[in-house]
Amino acid sequence: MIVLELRQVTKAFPLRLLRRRRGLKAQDGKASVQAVKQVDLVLHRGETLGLVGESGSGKSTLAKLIMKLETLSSGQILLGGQSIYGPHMKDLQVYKSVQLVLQDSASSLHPRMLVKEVLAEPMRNFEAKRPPEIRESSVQLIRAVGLDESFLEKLPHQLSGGQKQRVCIARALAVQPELIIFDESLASLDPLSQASIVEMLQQIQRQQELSYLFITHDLGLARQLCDRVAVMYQGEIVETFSEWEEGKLKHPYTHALFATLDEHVEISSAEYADK
Amino acid sequence: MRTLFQKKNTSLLLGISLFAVIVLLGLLAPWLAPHNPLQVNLSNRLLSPSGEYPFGTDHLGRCILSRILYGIRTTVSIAFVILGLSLCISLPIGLLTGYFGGRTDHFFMRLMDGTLAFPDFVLTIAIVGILGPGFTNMIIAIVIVRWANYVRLIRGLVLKVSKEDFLITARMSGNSHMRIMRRYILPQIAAPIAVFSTLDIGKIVLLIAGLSFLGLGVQPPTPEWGVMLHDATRYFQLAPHVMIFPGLAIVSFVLSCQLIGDRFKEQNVHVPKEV
Repeated sequence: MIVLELRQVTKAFPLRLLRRRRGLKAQDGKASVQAVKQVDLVLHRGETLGLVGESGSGKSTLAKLIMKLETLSSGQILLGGQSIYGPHMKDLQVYKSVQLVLQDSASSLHPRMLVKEVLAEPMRNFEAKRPPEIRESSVQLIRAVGLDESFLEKLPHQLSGGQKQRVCIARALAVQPELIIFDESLASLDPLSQASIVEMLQQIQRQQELSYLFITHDLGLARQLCDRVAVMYQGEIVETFSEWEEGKLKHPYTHALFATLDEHVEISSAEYADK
Repeated sequence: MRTLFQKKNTSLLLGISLFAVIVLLGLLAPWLAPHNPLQVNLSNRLLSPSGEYPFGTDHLGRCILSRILYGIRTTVSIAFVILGLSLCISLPIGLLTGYFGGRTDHFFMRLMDGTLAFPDFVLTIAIVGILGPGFTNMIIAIVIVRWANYVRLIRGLVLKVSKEDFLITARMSGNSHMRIMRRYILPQIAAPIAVFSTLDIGKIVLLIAGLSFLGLGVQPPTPEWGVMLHDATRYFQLAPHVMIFPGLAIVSFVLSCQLIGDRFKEQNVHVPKEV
């Protein structure tokens, strides 16, 4: 079953607007900059699709397009077969199906809201749950992300980076979505926290048959978590693969990415050996 | 608040004390005033300060102390009414334009540019000149002049808060735009608005007194500091106390507002480091 389908998705930012926002000068008479170019993607139920590429390749823009945080220039985004820009698909209905976990967990949480309030909001807004049910579900959620009940009474500044990210994941799970997009969500965490959260995500996925779109520039992390990987380069999907064999890859950019992966593994091994 | 006092912020303490004393004197005016502020007694004209008349009498033999005490009620309460009206108008406009942007934002920005292009006092005089002198017209004129400052401030603060990731998270948690503005944005911008208002109340008092001094605001025989100064101009050389005491009242109130506002501004209240 297809959860998410992208058909010829394109996002162009008019240069005039960009110039005004960032003080850029016109380049070669171009009227716009295409951040995402005719992207086709399909994500199945229970699948984890990795979206890798260097910074500025259009990965986060694509996530924002799926979440309707940016407007589409052309193409179609279908959620469960229905266009997200269709007359019956309002923003909140999109958020009921898709949730986004951002990179900066510290700024993703309201500084004055207790963890229990953060988790209660989606349950109250989407499912009209009553306080006793919310309390019960909050306890289940916080346990599901590997934290204990005492964390419900804490404020974001009392949590570590990994704990904050777990709370963000719990908040996303509270909506009971079909798909969660992780936009460089584990990038700022240490390797141990990353590994622990990856394991937790895999466990949750097995239990709830969730789909994940995992945006990262870390190919090593993608290898751990993803069933399939799409490589994005200068706004385009240049290659999609599911087998981690360099010999089968076609695009030079993917080869270059694999080279960094080998380097990374070598460096990590060397560091480990030193210790 | 505790840390503020620990640092021996004498200026802040002085400002708060002065402000509190003035407001308290105004509230208790009917009990503290030694004479009826409107009672004319021509046999006691321009008396110097004495036991019976601590601040002396004016050209109609009225007790200056009583008029100053009742003047607090007039001047300060009008200032608070103007402040309240300005906030009532500019808070929704600032929130909506900052949050949604678009054409409405452009429209209000141009309107504000037009308003802010003229000096406050000149524009107020022009508006009162059109509407005609009087208590209500003065309030309308000052609100028309001051609202733009508040909209600009609130819009700027909203734009700053809007960049925070927790607003995206709030939206994805199913909150409506109205709820996000009320629950997420408003608490974040309340402190800077309070600081600005404290500083501004002094300016508003100066505007009220200035207009009344020119005969465009509160009309005699209402006890008001600007009106008292206006009445005193002809007798200043003969009886300087007639002008000195109302002048001191204005200076004290404006100074108290400045001391409080400046100190909070130095404390950088809009960036809470700890919750």
